[in-house]
Amino acid sequence: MTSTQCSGSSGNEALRIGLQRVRAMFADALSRAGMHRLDETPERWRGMLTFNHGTDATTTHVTQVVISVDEEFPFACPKAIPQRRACAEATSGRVVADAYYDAGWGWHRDRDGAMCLFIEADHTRLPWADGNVLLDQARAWLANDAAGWPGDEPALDLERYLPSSPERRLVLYGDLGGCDGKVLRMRAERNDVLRISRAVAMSRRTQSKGAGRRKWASNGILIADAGDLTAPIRDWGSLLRAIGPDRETSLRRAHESGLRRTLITYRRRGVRGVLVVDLDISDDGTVTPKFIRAAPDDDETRRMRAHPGAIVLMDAQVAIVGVGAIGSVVADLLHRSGIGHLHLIDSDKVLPGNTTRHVVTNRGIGLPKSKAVADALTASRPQAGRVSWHSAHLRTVDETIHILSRFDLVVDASADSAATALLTTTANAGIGQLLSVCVLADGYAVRVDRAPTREQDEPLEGPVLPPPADIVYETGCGSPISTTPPAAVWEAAAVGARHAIKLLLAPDVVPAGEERVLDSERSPA
Amino acid sequence: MPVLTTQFDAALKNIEPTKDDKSNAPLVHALVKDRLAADSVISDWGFDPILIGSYRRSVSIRRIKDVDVFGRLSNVDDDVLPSTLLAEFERVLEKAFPPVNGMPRVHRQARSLQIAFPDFDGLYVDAVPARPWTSPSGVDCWQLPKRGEESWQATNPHNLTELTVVMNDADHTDGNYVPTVKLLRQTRRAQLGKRRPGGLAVEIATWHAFNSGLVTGPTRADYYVSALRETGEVLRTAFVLGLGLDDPTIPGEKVVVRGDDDDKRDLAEKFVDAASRTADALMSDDRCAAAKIFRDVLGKAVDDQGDNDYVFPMPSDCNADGTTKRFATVSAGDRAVPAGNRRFG
Repeated sequence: MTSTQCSGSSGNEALRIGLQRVRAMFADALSRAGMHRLDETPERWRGMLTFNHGTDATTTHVTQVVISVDEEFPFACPKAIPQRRACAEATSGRVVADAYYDAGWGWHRDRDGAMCLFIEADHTRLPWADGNVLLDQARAWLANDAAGWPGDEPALDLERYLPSSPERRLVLYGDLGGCDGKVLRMRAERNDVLRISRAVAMSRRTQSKGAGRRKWASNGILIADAGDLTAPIRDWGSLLRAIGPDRETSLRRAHESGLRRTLITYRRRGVRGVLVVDLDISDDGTVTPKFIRAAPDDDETRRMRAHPGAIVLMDAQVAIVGVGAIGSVVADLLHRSGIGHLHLIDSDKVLPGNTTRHVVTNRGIGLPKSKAVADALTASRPQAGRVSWHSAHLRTVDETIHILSRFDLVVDASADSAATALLTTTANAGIGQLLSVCVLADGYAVRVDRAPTREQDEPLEGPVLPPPADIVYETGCGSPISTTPPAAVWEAAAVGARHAIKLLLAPDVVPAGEERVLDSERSPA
Repeated sequence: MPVLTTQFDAALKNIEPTKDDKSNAPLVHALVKDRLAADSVISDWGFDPILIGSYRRSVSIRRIKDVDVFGRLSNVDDDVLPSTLLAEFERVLEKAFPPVNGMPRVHRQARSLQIAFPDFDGLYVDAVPARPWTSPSGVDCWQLPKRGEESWQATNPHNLTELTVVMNDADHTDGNYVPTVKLLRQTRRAQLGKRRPGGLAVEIATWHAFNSGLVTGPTRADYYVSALRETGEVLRTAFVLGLGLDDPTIPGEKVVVRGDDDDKRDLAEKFVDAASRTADALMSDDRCAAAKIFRDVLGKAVDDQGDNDYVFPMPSDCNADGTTKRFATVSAGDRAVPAGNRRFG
């Protein structure tokens, strides 16, 4: 937002005036398009929109639309609701043309009838603040609706078309292959989670007279496949149509026997989706599907958020020498990114002061750092890569050769001059790949060095650093404590992890290293 | 091009008759017509009253001062004089509405009886007798007593109501005719004050303007400015060139417009001038300066507190003198989120 330079208004007043102005300009745009204001509070407009569609966009149609502008405009998008022909005729007092288009109730039409005009990403620039943009978008929506939404993105958002169930627990599901048509059991877990297991649920016989009736327990859920969806599921009827006659029979039978939940698997333009619903039944027997929040819990779900190259990284083996502050965060980032095997080497123990800049919490105090970090990573993401640990100090050339030979990459986060010198010399001799990561001068800069470098590269020049900051000592520590702030630790680890992953995926493009100054106010010596 | 939709909508609200006026008008109309209908002489004449006037056509602006009872007398003989009709109306109405505190409520006008209703916030009813007549062009209409003469004057008020409804309908202006007439009536009041010609002359000129097809939208501002222009031309032709104002309800007849010739010419010239100023406003890039022009042309009216205030409000980002206030700009396309839309948090 910007301000004009006239005098006399406070910030609140300037904002209030600005918001009224944008609303007035919006009204002007709608008015120019021939729309009429119906009400002021809430503000509503009505008018006819003309649009073209067809293969060469020569077929012209018209639809009456009512636009509602709520109080939060322009930070909330106005709603545009297409009207049926009968309504348009009743309000205009005349018969509308044959070219009138009655919008369908297919994709991208919300439960309240409004057209979904903008995706979430559009909200950053408030495009609808310009009434002409809103009307153009509405015309485009109508044209797409008339054409059946060709080239539509496979938005897996069936929940938007259904009311929400009062069930507040989160339903988790794993691999459902082979479960179509089965009633599975849901198991309650902590944090209000219901997990669908692959165990088949059993119905039980009721005690009613004439017996023979079986009833499903409340923790049963029927799995039903709807295949390729051509329209959203909005109600009981459209749900039954979507799953087809055979599954409809099963679902009806199960529902009559007390089953109240179903999980629908579906596809949209080749992408798989899942919808979990409560089958709410009212006093008059009307069944209303209501969506329950659900999420997948499988390796693929976790991997798709890891790194785009996670499939390749799954086979990588990386050793991290030194899992102090930076090393622990590098290990965490590489574990999240999908590295198949991490091996952590450190001889030190976790002290209370470490936890300020370390991924390990108080629970790790007293443990070897390598074990504490390994435990923390596997506890957080048990399905992710393997983490092994070794509480030891890298001292000898043989040990160094062994580590560099055995692992695809060794990350040196030790900040131990002897260890770094051993590793760097060995790597430069042509044994293995090394990446050294550190923070310089108590947070002044972060630095990553690769060894060996590519043929065309020279190693980075030595850093030019500011004078040392005030020295801080801690009881029991022989050396001064670095006052590197936690943010600098994370920034160094992030740079290091980025270079490490690039080295594993495309070593030929990775330069000799990177140095980034974080605190430019401290002048070098 | 500042169309100032919100301000025009507010202006229309500010000239809309008050709730009290709208509920009082039909009440007093009924009181008068019922009294006349109950009289045997008048009812024998075939008394069949209708509501006419700006209130009937929904083009009234605040304050509604008078309501018209058009006393159609279908069975009155041709030889009954206008003065006789007026005398009978006066007899009945003076009896029905006696003086209050010594002040008479019924006043004989040149061609009607005016009844005061002090209890209804100064509202008047004009009761005018009328006899059937067919124009030389074959239009069935009416005659009412001619002002100052023992003779008759043609009129067809019911047809004016019909013409208004048609001009306002979905096939013509889709509801834009009536609001524009109101704005032009307000413009006449602001430019001429209490002087004649009155609002009816402007309304009829406006009808002719719309009927020419040269008054266009789609916004209120567009209708208002083009109507001002075309109505100004009709009034100039009628009062400056002296060709008179055609009665759209009776082809071949002219409307009798009350007022001095100087005042009539002044009305025409003021409308032409206002049309030029508002056309410039509509074409300008300065929204606040444009708003000030519209505000000045439309003038003041009585607000809900009984005070005189400008009909056309200035936009909230404009000062009363037409300059722009400081405000925080929020526009489509602004980087309301500095880092853009491909963020992850």
